[in-house]
Amino acid sequence: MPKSPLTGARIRRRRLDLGQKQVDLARICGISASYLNLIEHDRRSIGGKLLADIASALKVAPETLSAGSDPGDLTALRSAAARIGGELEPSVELDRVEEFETRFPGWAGLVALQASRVDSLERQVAILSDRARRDPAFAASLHNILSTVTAIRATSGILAGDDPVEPVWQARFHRNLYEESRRLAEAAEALADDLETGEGIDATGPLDALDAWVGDGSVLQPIEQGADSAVMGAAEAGLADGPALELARAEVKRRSADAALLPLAALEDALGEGLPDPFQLADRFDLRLGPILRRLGALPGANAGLAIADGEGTLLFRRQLPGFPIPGYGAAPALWPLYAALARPGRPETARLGPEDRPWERFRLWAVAEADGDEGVMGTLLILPEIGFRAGALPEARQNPRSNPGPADGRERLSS
Amino acid sequence: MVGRVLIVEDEPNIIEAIRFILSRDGWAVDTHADGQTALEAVARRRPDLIILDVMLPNRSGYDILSDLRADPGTEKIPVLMLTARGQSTDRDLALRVGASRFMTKPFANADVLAAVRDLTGLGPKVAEG
Repeated sequence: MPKSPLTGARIRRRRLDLGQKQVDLARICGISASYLNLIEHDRRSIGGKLLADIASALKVAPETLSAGSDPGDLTALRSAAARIGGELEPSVELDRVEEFETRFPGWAGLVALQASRVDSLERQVAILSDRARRDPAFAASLHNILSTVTAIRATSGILAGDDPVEPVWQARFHRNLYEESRRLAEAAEALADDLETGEGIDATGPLDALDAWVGDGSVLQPIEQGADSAVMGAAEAGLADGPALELARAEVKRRSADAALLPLAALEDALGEGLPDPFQLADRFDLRLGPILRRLGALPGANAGLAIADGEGTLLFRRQLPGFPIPGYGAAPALWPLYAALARPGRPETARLGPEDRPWERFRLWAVAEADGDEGVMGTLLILPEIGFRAGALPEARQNPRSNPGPADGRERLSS
Repeated sequence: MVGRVLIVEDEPNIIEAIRFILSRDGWAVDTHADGQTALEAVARRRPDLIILDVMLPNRSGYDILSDLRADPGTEKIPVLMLTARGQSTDRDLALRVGASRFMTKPFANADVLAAVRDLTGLGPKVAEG
């Protein structure tokens, strides 16, 4: 079994996660605490029976200790370094990211958590901008204010300029300034009132409400076992009657039909290592590309993004992928392949987005628009990270390694 | 007269300010608050440049621009688009539809003057600022 130079650090990390003392683990494995200490600091190589014994005592597979860090974790850290590090990035030791993640799991978790929060905040900003653009009252208020400011700036620019202005024009422009300043004051007050009462911005667009209800997607998982009515009931309980509930019902119906075409187990069996090839899967299951994209985008726990739109390009469902926010509206690069596909139904579109020198920030996109029963055309866009794709959730111990009960030393643990 | 400019804008005080700036620089200026009447005016007398607001009553500035570009008699007229919304999507859309240049409100008077002179190739150059 190949041994990583960080096996000892992983043993130490796992032991601390379990809140186990070094001396106790050593006793269980029949070695001295000082020898275990050398192992944990990677000053002694380890393998074979001793590794198996330690793994058994730590309740993990030996491979978990000997194999490298999860690519998803490393991708998250690299991505954080690239996106948040900014000017610091050249000095971030990217070649030692695995060592950092293994030796300092708490700090690594903090970095990843911060990056995740930045992603979340960026998504919120995108959603708010999106709402501002869609909300007619807010857009009108903003337009009113900017128009008034434009008139004031242009008029005052004339009066304050070096070129002389005749008295009759001076008087006229002064009057215009007075009018516009009153208008500005009124518009600003109206906007402030709107913001204060929350009436100016629709805080719950249907797609946002659907996002909030779907959460991490687990609420939709019973569909895979045929429990559509239970999910439908949950949607009716969790969403007010209206457009968001309609979107939820449509998604349940769509996902149920897709699941009947391609059960989750069959798809998971067909997935190999690395990035899946949707075209190959479509051939293999003799299905159109659309259902394949939607099934891949619905894989529970996978790091996949998905957007489904009607023939007009209006989003009906989306699954966000960290590092690749999908806006609900607008000509964002994230949605271009989808719009391109909708312009040419039946012809798949593919794209790679992201910087060439940062593969961990690159994404692969597949989009297709296909006939959707009597309802016209439906477009589907799948987004996967070019490296570090995960077809399912991380094992519990790896997914949330710091959510175990507090260790004996009483250190506070991060929850992810 | 340096040249003729048509302003299509529905804010009277913005019209008045731009008209004053351009008139003082020697331009003949016509104004319209509605895009459709502006199109009819263009058909009657071709301006050297059109300053076109995006947010207009009835038909939007994009609609008007699209009509201008679809007509062989007006397709070459330089169009400076104005909008209160500085989003990149609006800029992209304006340029895709065929705007010669895009200016976001609020703008500096000198920028408008520079753009008019530059797009028409008429009048002396001024420093933008």
